[in-house]
Amino acid sequence: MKINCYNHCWFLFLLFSVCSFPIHSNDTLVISEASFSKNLKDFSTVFVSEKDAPFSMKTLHRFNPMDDDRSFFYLSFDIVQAYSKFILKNDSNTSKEIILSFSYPFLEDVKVYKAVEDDLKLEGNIGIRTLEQSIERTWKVSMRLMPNEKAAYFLFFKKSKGKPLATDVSIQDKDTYYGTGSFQSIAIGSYVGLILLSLLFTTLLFVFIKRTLFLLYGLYLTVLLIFIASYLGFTNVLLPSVSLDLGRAIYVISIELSTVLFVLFAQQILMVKEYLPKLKKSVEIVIVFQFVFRIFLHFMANSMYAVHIEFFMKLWYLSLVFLICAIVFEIFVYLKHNKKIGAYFTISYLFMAVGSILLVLHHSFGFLKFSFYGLPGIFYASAIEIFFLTITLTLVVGQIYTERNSFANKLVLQQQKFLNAFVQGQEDERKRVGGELHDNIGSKIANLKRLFSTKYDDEKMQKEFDDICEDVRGVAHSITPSEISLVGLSGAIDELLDTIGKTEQLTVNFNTFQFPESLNENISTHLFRIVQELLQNVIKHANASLVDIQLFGHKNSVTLSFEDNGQGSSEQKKSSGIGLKNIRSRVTQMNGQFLFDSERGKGTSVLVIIPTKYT
Amino acid sequence: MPVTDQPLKILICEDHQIVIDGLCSIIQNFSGFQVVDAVSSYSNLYASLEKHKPNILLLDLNLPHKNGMEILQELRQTGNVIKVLILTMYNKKTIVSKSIAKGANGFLLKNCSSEDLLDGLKHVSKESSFYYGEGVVKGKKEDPLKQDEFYKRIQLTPREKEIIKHLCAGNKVPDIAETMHISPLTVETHKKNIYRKLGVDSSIKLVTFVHENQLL
Repeated sequence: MKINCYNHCWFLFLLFSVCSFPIHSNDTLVISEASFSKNLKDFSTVFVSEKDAPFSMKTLHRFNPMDDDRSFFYLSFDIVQAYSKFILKNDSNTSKEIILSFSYPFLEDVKVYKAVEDDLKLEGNIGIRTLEQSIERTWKVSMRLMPNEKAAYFLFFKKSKGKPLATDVSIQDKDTYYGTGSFQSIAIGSYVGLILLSLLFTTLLFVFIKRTLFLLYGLYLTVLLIFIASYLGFTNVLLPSVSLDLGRAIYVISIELSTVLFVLFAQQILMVKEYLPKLKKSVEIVIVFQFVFRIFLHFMANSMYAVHIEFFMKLWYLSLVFLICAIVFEIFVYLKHNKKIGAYFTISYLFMAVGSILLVLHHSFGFLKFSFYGLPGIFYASAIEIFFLTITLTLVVGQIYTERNSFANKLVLQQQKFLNAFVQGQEDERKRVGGELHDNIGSKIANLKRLFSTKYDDEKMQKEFDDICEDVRGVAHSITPSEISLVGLSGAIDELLDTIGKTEQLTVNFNTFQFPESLNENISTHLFRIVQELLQNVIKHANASLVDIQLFGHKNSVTLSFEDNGQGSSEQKKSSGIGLKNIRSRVTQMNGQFLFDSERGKGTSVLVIIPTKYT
Repeated sequence: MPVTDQPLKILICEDHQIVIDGLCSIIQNFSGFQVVDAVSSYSNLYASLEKHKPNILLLDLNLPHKNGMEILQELRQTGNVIKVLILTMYNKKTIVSKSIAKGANGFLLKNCSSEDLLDGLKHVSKESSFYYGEGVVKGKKEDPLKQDEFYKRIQLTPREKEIIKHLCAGNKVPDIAETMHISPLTVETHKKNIYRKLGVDSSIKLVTFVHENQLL
């Protein structure tokens, strides 16, 4: 271990160990109570060796004492073997079952020896290299102490070079061990529940709102679950005994993959593409590099480039620091735009980052005690992280919905505006052309007729002129009901029904009930067009024989009621037809309401309500 | 042809100069009639009426600002008895009927012949009956049954009948909407219309009215 800061610590530890040597020399645990729980490191010293050799009483001198202040066992990169000696003394008159448990799930080869008359008797052998599958998720060795027995034990670690080892070793009586076990089970159960709920939540979101954000989160949760499961030792339970080593690979891949997914997820949620597009690219490059590099380190570099491993690890830490800084920067930028979501994300990120940093510090450098109640700190941190991330995501969904709604509203309003302008323009143009035909051209032809008739008394020619006048009148009328201003809406509708009655086999009852005569011409024109449109619909599609058109004048509104006895239509398709769209547009322009109800076989009923008070 | 000492004075109210010119050139050939003035809109009509005191007004319907129908109504409301001969391109029953209702004396189409114009002028100057120009459609033949205000009142559409049934059964608007699979606003509007139609303002009066007249 040649990292500077560690060297400082090393020095401090040395200093400290000199002062506290007497305490450490006393490596005896006197067991008098029925239940107890002790941290082995508190009363034992670790001896380490960088060479691989068979372990026996005679080889003990090859180990150097490693005095440190840690409350857990930490064997750095270069160490290959280590042992710790401790003495247990049973002070009671009953025999004791004692359990030695390890927090690190990827112990390679750990043996517990009992010193019996200058020889070592193997009490237990655990670890993924020993090919003995553990039944429980944490490794444990159980030992039995006879009444008033005092015995010396050697805990012997064997590990591969280049992979640091950090583990808590607790020594407990059987009941206490299983007591902590039940707490851990509850905590793990809650954790899995939280992740599964969040997973379900984000899956549903992804189904409804097809955004990669939710997919990434789902993947992240899954990989995180795998990581935590492997880190808690579940791979040792689930994997066949011959391939227990695979557990560590799963652990390394899942932790790296979860980092990648988290970073990609953070890029999406923080909208880095929008705010910091350049940073996004470099972050993505770094994260891919980091993933590939870590895989390379774990699976190849250890055997091939063992000498450079520390340099490689430094590179890896550097990329990690870069990512952490980049995301912190992204968070600050994002917070400027969106405080609420940003705040929740920051909290979850804080836990995620602190958890990861502590994990790295604990495992690679041996800083900090990392477990609480037998569960690693990253476990608690990630639970809090997931909790807040899910809240963040809920907020994002809310935001997406409000955005969508406002966007959809805008779109509808825009469409409405276009349609209104179109309808209004059409109406203006019709009025202009109709008026022109009627007044100007019509009048001129009429005059021409009289001018000619004073000079030539020709019946045929006069008839021809009258025909032209009739045609012009017809065309003008078909374009615009100019007579609305003269005879009002009911008059114009009367005329319309007259022309329809001539050609169609349709009985139309038209009545007005206190309908105001002097209604705003604009409204009258719109209502006239609506009636025209509805009648056309009936003639074209409804197959009706009877139509009731009624105009009602109310205190603050007028109502047009239009009913037919046609086939009706159950499909809502009909209401999206261009004709009905046009009607809706007209109604909207008058701030009115359009009520359309139709049922197959029951005819169609349309109500148009137009407020008159404020128009 | 009645011989009068003074030719009858005609005022033309028309917004197309070419029509005015045409009319003038025709009327000047008629004995007993004289165009005293021509105005293009409502704004200078009254001044001319005051000044020339014409006997006959040739009135176009499509005029800027105030249309012919409104001018006619205003004239009659102010007690002016000048003979009004409508001259228009419109040939619609409703317009003719309305002109009669508003107190016009005759109705001519703009493409009428000179003879028709002369006939019209002569007719309105001495007869009190309405003059229909050549080709002018006669006003609606009134259907005596349909005109009956009460009969009209109690003509209910199928949809209205259905809603009245529910209302008479004492159902509330939201319940009716639910049973009929339509919106409460639709029911509310129909109800309002029915009240207006039958001249009632409460559900009790509605039930009484329906029973008295056996509407269902």
